[in-house]
Amino acid sequence: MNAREGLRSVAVVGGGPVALVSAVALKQALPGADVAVVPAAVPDDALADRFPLALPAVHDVLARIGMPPELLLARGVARPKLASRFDDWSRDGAPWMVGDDGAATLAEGRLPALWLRARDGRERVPPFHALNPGCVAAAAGIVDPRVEPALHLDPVRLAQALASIARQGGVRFVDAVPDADLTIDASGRREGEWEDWQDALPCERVGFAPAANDAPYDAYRATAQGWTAHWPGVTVTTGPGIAIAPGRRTTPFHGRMLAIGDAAVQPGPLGRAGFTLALGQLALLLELLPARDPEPLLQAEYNRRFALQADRMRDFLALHYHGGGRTQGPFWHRLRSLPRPPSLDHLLAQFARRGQIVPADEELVHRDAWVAVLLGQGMIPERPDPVALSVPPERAARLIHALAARIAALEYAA
Amino acid sequence: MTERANGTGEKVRVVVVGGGTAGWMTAAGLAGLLPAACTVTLVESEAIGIVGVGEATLPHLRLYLERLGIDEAAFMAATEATYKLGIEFRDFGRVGDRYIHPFGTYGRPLSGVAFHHYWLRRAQAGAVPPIGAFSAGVTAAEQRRFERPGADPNDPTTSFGYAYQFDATRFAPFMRDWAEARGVKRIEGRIVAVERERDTVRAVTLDDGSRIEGDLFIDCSGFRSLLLGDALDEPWEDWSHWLPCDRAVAVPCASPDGPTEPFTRATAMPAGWRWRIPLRHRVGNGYVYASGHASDDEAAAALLAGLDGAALAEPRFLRFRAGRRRRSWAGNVVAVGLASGFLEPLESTSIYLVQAAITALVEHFPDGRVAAVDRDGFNAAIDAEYDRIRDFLILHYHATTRDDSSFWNHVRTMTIPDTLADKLALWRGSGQVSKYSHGLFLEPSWVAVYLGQGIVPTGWDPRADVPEAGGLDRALGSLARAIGDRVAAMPLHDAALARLA
Repeated sequence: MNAREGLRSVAVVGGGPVALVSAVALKQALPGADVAVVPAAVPDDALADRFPLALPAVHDVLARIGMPPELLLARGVARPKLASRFDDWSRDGAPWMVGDDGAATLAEGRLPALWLRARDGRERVPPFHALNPGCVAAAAGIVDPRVEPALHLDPVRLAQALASIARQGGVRFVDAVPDADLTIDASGRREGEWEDWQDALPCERVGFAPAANDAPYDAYRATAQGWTAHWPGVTVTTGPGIAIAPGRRTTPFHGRMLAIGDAAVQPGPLGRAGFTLALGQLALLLELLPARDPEPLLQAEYNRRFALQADRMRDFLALHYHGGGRTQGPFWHRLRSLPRPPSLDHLLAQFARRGQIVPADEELVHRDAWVAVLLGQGMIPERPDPVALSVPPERAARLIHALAARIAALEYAA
Repeated sequence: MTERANGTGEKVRVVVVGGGTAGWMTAAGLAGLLPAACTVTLVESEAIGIVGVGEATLPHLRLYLERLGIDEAAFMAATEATYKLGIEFRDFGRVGDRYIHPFGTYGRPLSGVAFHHYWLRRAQAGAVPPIGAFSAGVTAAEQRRFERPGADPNDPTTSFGYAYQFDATRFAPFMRDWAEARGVKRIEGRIVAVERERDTVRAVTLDDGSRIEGDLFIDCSGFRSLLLGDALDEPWEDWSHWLPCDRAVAVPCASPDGPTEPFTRATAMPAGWRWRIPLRHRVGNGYVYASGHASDDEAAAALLAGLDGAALAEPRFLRFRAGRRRRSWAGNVVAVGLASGFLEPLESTSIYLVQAAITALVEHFPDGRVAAVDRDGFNAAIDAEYDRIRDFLILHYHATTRDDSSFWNHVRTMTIPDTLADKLALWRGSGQVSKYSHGLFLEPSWVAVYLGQGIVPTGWDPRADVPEAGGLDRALGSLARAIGDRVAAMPLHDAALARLA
């Protein structure tokens, strides 16, 4: 006999994609359990529900519930998002891009190290993002099937598709929260004890205005007061608008209640990482599926890994503010006086030394994206990579130019 | 921060102190990977022996060899190496038990649920063979067969890892030849004085009066820890209350007739455990014991009594203590290998720790000056390695029902680190392994030792209860058969070795 009996009933509270995707995944994992959704209005600041984006690292969660990226793209539920572009956001003002998929590779060594080595020569070197096929294709307005895109999801169509799968799978929609073995709070509302990320992710208010943006990348521009961004269908501006309080819940899983999405972590609007984090949490929940009776040790393990995942994403997003790029304007000037999380300090110090990204568990962002955000802002490591020293700068420059030319001609392996 | 004497822009002058396995692996690694960043001088004395009992390795060693472009066949021939698919543990959970901890996974996940949950369910019903039958590595080890793994990591019939068992006294000379051919300068001599300013070592003086200056000193002096321990007095963190073994006696013996095992054997003994490592030309043996629970004479007698071939040398004794220097890198001294700490070779981690230190050193290699950020980055990486290995080793002692000696009574009942207690409690209650993705010993290793030593969870993932029992048993049966059939078609280990020659 298994000492752990399965959940008989799950209630999911929430009215957006986070609640629906959770309900569908749990119903599929536990076909015999009663899974009920209690719709609730999506709060204005529940950005995971309102602007869902799924990074490649969480596509398998969607695929597991029958929504592989190809299908979502073919049905018009998702549009490919290959990269993000940043203007006026670096030391020298040069624009830079970050791909959502990896950069190209060279057999001769680590790409960032070779790129930095090439800069040691006298030649001009293409920008680092010219070595990322996703960035090059996005800038050209091409959606290249060889690049795995992030998925920009239409929240209405996604919710409709999920609701349809949910109903077919036997998920019930009810008006009042039923008694359940496990209640998932996907309402986007903030309850309980939170850890504040205002210093790491200083964005207190943000406004959204409909706009006819349709590039296959998100475009950000730093301003004296913050930034403005063009996402598909919407222009986002820091300043007047809805209040945002970045942070995470200290223990999202406790007793018979588990918070997910914006109810557990609010990463702010930059990078719109909320839905990716929600899917990351869902993957954790499916891996550590709880039993009927609360299990404090299992919950502690879930909370431990949740914290690693959320804090790592916080650090990645915080790099955009604290990565040593733009310094002009009151918003950017103020950043210098803000304290940074120790893990971010450690990461920045190691990168500043010789371009290493300190690895971490529960990573949802591609390693190349970390490098791209720092190099793009103009943070050049003070020391060369000692392995790359064996490659003369002229040779490194030739390799980098040849690679950039191949990528510009869209000649690269999938 | 310590300024380098000769300024920036020039090559860092590295002085490696000690020429055993750690010293020559480090010298070769730096000369091979950083030829433009450093010059390497190695000081060793032929009068000082090397410990050289680290004869069993982990699959990571292959990455080291590959990265340096060292030919596997040449390396294996030079070191009389055999293949290694895992470690067989005998008598650990209780006398009479045995299991193999393989380099690889068990089965494959089903509906997103790890294989061992399904196995736990059907094992409780007595309906499935031991979990080793679902590992190609274990199955091949049991049949003394070997073949290189297949390319598809998701095919449980061909995906497994392998390492080597080799003669450590020949590995250091092999790496020495390789390193010297790439410019490493070897100096024969015994160090009689260390010249330092605060935590910066400037030079070492040899017994012939010569003085060797350097910018970065790598302490590979073994247990003596000449630079990090003696000169810089880096504090020692003692772990002997968890890992009480503090002696070993080693003796090689002639290979017995019959097939050569592609695995290392660790057999629990009244006051510790003994290793048996089959090489091509002999078998390495040793008894690692706690001096508080057995005398040297008792240990030597027990070791000799258990040999399965004629002893080829007099028994050799070693003394050590489990623990480590608080930091492996202090000032401009980086300790690699035993000079940085000691964890008994129960899971063949000695050479791995050397390799991990070399990798971390290459990633944090000081250029021009040693900065705090180099040292701290390196130390953080090494801390994580030591802590994880430590907990995993303690598990082997603590997870036992043995009460037949004072040693086993001690380790069975001792207080274990909280980090390990939490992992054990999670496993016991839920069948879940506390997960990390960087470092040594991932989920399958923990599953192997937990189950192998009788720590069977009371519950497993409830989703494993969903499939109908008959269908599940048929699926599990056909998986075990597929692995068995695939392994039966592999050549015998001895035939695979003969093919190399």
